[in-house]
Order: sequence, then structure tokens, then C-alpha cells
Amino acid sequence: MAQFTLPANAVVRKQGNQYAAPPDAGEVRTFQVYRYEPDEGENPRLDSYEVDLEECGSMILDVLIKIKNEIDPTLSFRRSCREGICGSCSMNINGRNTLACTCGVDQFKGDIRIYPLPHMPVVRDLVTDLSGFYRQYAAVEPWLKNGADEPERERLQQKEERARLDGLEDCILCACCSTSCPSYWWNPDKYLGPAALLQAWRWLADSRDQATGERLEYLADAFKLYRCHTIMNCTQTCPKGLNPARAIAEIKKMVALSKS
Amino acid sequence: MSGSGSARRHWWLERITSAALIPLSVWLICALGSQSLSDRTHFEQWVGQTDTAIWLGLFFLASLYHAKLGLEVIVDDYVSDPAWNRATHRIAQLVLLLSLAAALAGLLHFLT
Repeated sequence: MAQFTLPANAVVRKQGNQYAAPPDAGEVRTFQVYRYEPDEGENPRLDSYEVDLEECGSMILDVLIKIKNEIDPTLSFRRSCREGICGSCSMNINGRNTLACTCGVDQFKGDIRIYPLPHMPVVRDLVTDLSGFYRQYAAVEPWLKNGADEPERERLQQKEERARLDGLEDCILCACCSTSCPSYWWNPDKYLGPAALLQAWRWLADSRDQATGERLEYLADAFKLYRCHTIMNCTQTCPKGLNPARAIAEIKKMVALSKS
Repeated sequence: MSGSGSARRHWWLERITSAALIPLSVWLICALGSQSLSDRTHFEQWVGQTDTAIWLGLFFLASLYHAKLGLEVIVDDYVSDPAWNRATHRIAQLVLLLSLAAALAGLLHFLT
């Protein structure tokens, strides 16, 4: 059966460590952060950090960096570009998957809860194991397949053909969409998930790609594609404003109208 | 449910049966609204008419087949153990088949 409750050793203890703000702090906000250290053999906990926002940048990532630099250096999280391009700092902030670097503290009132991406194995704290996610991305063979001989110059497209790729090639593989999808939670080993399917559609929609039949043959599977039930969490949560649900619907239509 | 052909067929059948259920449901609601449901004899005579029985038969066929398709999806979503998955599919099919048989038998009973 699908697992609807957390295993006993994964239940989060609400009372973790408390880190109070200094007495002279100005605007104080409390951040409750999921902490898990697998080597300790203990259940995950929620640590509570009071942060002086007057001494901190305006984004959630700024807060996490301040916590790590000045309050608790044991906190682990991924980050790189700090401007919504690399997808490293994806996490669940107040119940929504997003990028910590583009998520402002002023979007929320009261305490802010920060968890790792849902339903992924946690390596430590806010760092999740995305190996399966990357395998699914590789499985759709996200590269140009064109049987023709290598041309002497670039393969040309009409403006309309290029326009079809807008909103498809902007994906940064942050995994916010796939990890927000209940179908992906229940069948992460068999369903490709919205991110991989968005990339599959990106190549199906490309006028230069010649492997449409082969790609559709691979995708037209009860689990790889049809586990999508148009819940649309993926589109709602995408921090880049992309629409994976529509891409999946386009693939389904293409499969339905294909001859094989 | 497996294989590209069956997955595509399943997708099409879901849409065909749901599209068929739109006019059939509208007909059923309108037909029931125009009948006196408190008068059992009158109701049995109405069900016993050939055209009513045909429409009701189509409604039962479409709705129960649509339910079968939906249950298959739910079972595949939530029952991952292969043995339990097969067993749950069989039970769901059996229940729906018995429901259809009972519905059609009832229609035949009123027709004769």
C-alpha cells in the first residue's frame, strides 16, 4: 500500500533546540527549521531560531546563511547562485515548495517553517537525495536526436517553431514540481514526474528533433506518463512560473493521436 | 494496466465514457424529474418501457465501465504490492460486474 503515515523514526519532534535573539535585536522573527542528522540515530526535530531581520537580507536564503554563519554552523542546506537560476536552494517554506533565494521573508506573517522538499530521502537537514529525480530526467534523453548527418551550420528554425520552446527550456531542475505531486509521492520509482515530462515535451515540441515516435513509444506507459491526474500542484508551485501540467497534457494528446 | 497500447486505450475510454455520461446523466435527471417517484406502479411501468430500459441500460453500462476505469487508476496509485494489486483489481472488477448484472437483471425483470 502507499504509505500515508511517517515511519516511527521519521516523525518530527516539535521541540528542538531554541536559539534566542540577542537582547538588543530590532525586528525579530522566528524560523522553525527541520533538522536531521542521520548519524545521531534520533528522529528529526524542529529547531527554532530567532533572527534579527534588521541585520539580515530580505530573502529566506539570506536568513539561512545568517543562521549558519552567526547562530548555528551545523545547519546544512544547498545554495549557489542566489538569484533563482541554479535551483539548488529548493525547499518547502511554510508548506510550499519554492526557492529560498527568490522567496522574501515579507511574504509571510508570524513564524516561518522551513522543511526539505517533501517525500525525498533526507541526507541531512534541508539537503535531500535527488538521485532518482536526476535518473528520471536522464531517462527522457533530454538532447537533440536528429538522424541526419551533422550539418555544416546550425539547424535553422522559424520564429514560430522557436516560440513553441518558450516556457519549456527555462526549467532549472529544482524539483519543486515533482516533489509537490501526490502521484510522484506514491510512485516515485515508476512515474517520471512533472519535471522530467516537461523536458520530454520540450524535445517533442522541438522542430529539429526527429525522434518523436521513439520518444512517444517510451512515454506512453501507464506509470511513466499516465500517473499524472492533472492535480496541477506542479504548475502552482513552480518558482519559475512554468506549466508542467500543460506539457504533460500535450504529451497525452500527442500519444492519443499517434498512430502506433 | 501496462503497455503503451493499453495505456492509450485506457485514456481514450475514460474520455469516451465520461463524454457519453453527460447526455445520459442529463436524460436521467430530466426523466426522473418528470416521473412520480412516490407511485411505485407508475414507476415500474415507466422503467418497463423499451426506450426507458435502453437508456437506463446505456447509463448503467457507461457509468459502471467509467467506474471500473477510475478504480483501476486508484488501485494502481495506492496498492503497490503486486499480489495485493492483482487481488484488488479482481475484487473491484467482480463488484462492478455483479453491480452491472444486478442492474441489467432488474431492467429485464421490469421489461417482462
